Amino acid sequence: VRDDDPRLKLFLDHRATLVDYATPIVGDRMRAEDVVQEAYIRFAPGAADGVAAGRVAQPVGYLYRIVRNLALDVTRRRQTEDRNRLQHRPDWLAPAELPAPDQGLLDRDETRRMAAALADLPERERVALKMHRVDGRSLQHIADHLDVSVTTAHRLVQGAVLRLTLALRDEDGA
Amino acid sequence: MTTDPAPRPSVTLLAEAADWLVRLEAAPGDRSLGPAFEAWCAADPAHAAAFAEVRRSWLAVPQGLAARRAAGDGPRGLRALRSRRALR
Repeated sequence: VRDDDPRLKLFLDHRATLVDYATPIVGDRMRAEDVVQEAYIRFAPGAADGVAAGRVAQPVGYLYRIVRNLALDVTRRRQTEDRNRLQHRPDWLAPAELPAPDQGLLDRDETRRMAAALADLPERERVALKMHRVDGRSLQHIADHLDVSVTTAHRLVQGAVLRLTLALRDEDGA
Repeated sequence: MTTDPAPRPSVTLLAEAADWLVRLEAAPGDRSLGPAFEAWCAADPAHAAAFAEVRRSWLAVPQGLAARRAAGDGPRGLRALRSRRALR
């Protein structure tokens, strides 16, 4: 690997951020890593597109555009494959299936913190979150159940998601 | 894991991302949200990172609930979980 190549250096500098950028589009980190790798192949000198990259005025923007286009391609392809099962899902939420229980999303420590954060949620937030996330109830349904407005139901779920996200960060340092 | 040079998204950004998540989840048939959401994601890599972060916890909710059940639904199980957290 020649690290005197400016395009490789630029790619390496942005790699982690590019993965973060692609993750919500393709749905998970592993696919995002693949997309970013594929993007480099197109971006690298020697590749047909890479030749053009030497001439573009904004190579970073160009790199993000490649990643974005590839990520959308991947999502579209998967969506076509999964159409029957995920028909009711918008594109960017299509790869929403959960990993098998034995290969959960969270490690042990995170799982413990998630469980604790769930226990700590304000009652109405927990109810709203569970109804929406687990039972698949609409915000209208939750609003009726809790006797609040739909806007409040939305805020309850949003607040719960935010608290859980912050709880997962707790021991990461900052 | 590789170290991430990007700063972690702010709490404000996470709240915004959580708002998007609920909007998208609540209206799965509403394709009109798509362009606005993509524009928001593309506006700043930190936006996309914030969304990835809230989405991860959203997806992991069942795992957390399962762990809660495993720890025992009774008050003792919950208290045990709570006692491990710093009070705010």
